[in-house]
Amino acid sequence: MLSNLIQAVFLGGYYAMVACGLSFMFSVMRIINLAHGSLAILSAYLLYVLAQKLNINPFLGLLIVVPVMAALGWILQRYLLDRSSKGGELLPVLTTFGIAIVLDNLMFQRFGADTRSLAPYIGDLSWASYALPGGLFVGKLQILVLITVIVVIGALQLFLKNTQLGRSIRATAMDPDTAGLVGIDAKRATAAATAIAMATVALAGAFLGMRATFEPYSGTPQLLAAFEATVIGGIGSLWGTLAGGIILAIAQTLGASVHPQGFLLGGHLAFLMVLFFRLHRNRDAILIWLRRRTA
Amino acid sequence: MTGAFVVERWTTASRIGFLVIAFAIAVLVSAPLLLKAGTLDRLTALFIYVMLAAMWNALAGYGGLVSIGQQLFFGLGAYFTVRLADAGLNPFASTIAAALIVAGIAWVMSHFMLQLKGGEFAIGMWVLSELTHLLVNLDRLVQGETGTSLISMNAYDPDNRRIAIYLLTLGIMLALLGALYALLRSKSGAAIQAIRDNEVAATSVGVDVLKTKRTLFVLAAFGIGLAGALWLCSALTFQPKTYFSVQWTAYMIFMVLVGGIGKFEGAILGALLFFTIETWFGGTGVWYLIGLGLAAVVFSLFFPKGIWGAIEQRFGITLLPIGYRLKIIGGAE
Amino acid sequence: MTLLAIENLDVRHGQLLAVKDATLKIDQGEILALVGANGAGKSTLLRAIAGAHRQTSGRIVLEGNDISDWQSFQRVKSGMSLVPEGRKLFQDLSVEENLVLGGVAGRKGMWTVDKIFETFPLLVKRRHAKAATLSGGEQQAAAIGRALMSNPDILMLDEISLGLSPAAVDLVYGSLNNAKSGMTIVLVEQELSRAMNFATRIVCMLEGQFVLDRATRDLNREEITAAYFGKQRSAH
Repeated sequence: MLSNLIQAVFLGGYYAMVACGLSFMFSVMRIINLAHGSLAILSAYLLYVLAQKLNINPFLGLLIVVPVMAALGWILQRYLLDRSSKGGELLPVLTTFGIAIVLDNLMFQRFGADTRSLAPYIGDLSWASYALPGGLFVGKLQILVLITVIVVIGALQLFLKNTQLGRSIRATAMDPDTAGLVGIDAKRATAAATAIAMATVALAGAFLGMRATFEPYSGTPQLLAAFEATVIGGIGSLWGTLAGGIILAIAQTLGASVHPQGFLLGGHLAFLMVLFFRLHRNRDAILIWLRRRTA
Repeated sequence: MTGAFVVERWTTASRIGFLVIAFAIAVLVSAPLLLKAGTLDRLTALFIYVMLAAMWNALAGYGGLVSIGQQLFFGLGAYFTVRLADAGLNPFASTIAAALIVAGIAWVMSHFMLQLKGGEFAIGMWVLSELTHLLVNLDRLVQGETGTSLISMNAYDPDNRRIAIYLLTLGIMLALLGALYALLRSKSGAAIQAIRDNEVAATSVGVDVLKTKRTLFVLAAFGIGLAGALWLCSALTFQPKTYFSVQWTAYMIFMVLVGGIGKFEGAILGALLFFTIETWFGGTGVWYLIGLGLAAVVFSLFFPKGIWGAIEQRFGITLLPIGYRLKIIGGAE
Repeated sequence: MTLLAIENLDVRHGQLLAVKDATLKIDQGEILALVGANGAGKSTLLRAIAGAHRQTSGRIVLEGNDISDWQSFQRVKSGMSLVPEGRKLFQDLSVEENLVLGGVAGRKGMWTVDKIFETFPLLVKRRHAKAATLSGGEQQAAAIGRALMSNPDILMLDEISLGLSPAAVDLVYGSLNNAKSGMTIVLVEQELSRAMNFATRIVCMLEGQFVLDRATRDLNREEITAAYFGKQRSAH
């Protein structure tokens, strides 16, 4: 059991890696990017092609793929999402859903249904592990993922707090109208935010490919896991997303120990419980406030 | 200063439109006498698409609730039909009963799901759909992804069966559209359109926003549940993966976005377009899906009102009279 | 020298034409007070000039450049800054962070974060406090400071006395007096005596149009009040 829980913590770290870009975009732009999972898979395929065709190690490949994905994010926001946000909060849902369908099926067209993996290209990292006291094993790759996500979230927080661009992004998120009046180019700020989110997506795709297999339609499970981790951790907090990812993974592990099909079920149920607890608590808070008012 | 005026509901165009529709219905009802088996099957599919489009439109276009999880009800409608039929209930009756069960579940669901807003609601419904898919897989009758069939349907002769399913689907489609139309023309209809225009303002004039949204949520679930049940009657096999696939939502989004979101006529137009495209291009595999996705992107960005919305704006035509028009006597409308 | 000119400006608020065919020239160094009843169109006019609200027709010219199609942040870069109605500080950011953001346009000039704290001493002890925790007067001071950080050539202020105690308003105007040093200012002010004390020129708006436009020294209270309520429609 302890071994499973330790694995769950690392799995949670992976979920947080996938989720932090989604969480970031949602708290900054109030857009839920339904193409998020598909974009992670796209990154994985890009790294796969670089590894297979040009013999570029996936870690080196990231030096190419991260900027490419960031640029893609910039273009996506500037020319598509910015426009669709003007139509209200719901139109971007439809636009990003359409993009997800296009991406998934284009990848299917190009790569077929076979599952791929980046594991063969990273040497022994995919299976090497450290031995801990008590007969427990911890994978080196797992540790790398967890460390990376902690570093990325930490860097993002510092960026948001201490750089002019980071502050501009936060200000634009709070009040785009006033941001413009103060001199902030809101379009540039949101494009930069999306570019950053896509950079993290590239990392997530890389890690997915290294620790597991992927195929063109793997985007949906990634998206749902990212969303659940974000909601469990509380929208608007990146460190919360890390906690959310870990809680999700633990719930899934517990679910699996109860029933052979229980892995995903455990996660979904945990997500729903947290969601309703939070809604219920908000409602109670309102009820208490009302009671004070009318007493 | 102001002339006398009259408040009207019907325009000349809408009067003509109504006659055309009545005529079309008469033709459709007599179709089994004229058309061959394959065409009847295709028309049945078309009716189901119309139902799906109308229901998703009711939810998103009128209720402002964009859901990426409506396949949940499509799958449940089929699932309960299989279950009830297996328990001994007549398969046709099972479809209606199943849809009622689905409506009940939706009613319960609405109490917590409607507290979610915007994108969270959209994807929350998707999560719920995945969860339901997993739960359905656990049923021993279904045997996971292997699935099962609506065996009791085999008791009927294929040709009669086909005609019966065709007529049943046509009838249910018309009934659903009629119910939606009646709802929109009623006081609730005005409430719905008020909410669509400005939720806060609607609340301030006394519209019960939550109750209205709940009505739409349950109606949409009922309609989509029926659609799933009827699809099962035609297809006979129930594989959870097919019925709970998010592709159904992709189809619904395409039909409603392209046809015209929030417009009654738009949903029907969208279904017709989708049906045509599917008939011609469905065989091309993924390119067809890529086309659907691209259309969703292009329309949401550049033609958010859809084709019918553009027509309405350009020519000022409204075929189905919902809402009121002010006609100044002796002057232009 | 004309710093800002608006020509035949029409601005709509939904269906309502809030600003009708407005034409106005503002010279360098002028301090113009825009007065008028609620709904006269004053805020809409300022927002349209600042680029936050798109005009239906007409032109806006700043220092000879036609800025009618420019976005608000571009106008800030060109030397125009608006302190919006309701202060609109970034609530989760501290006073200092709000000020620093005010300088994002990168214009050089006498205004720095330190100079702002010098000019608005009441902000000093609230330097790191989140904007949401400030009092009305402190928020107003911070909002003005934030606008000054862009070193504007023309500063526009929308209803800075709104929701403030008289003592707080005195403080704000006192600091503003110290700050103005030759800057061109347009302010919307409901209180006539303050407007007359502070401004060199009074423009009165009624139902979207200018009904009075004269130097303060050539006006008395009665004339302004009459124009305010529409008893007398006079041009210049």
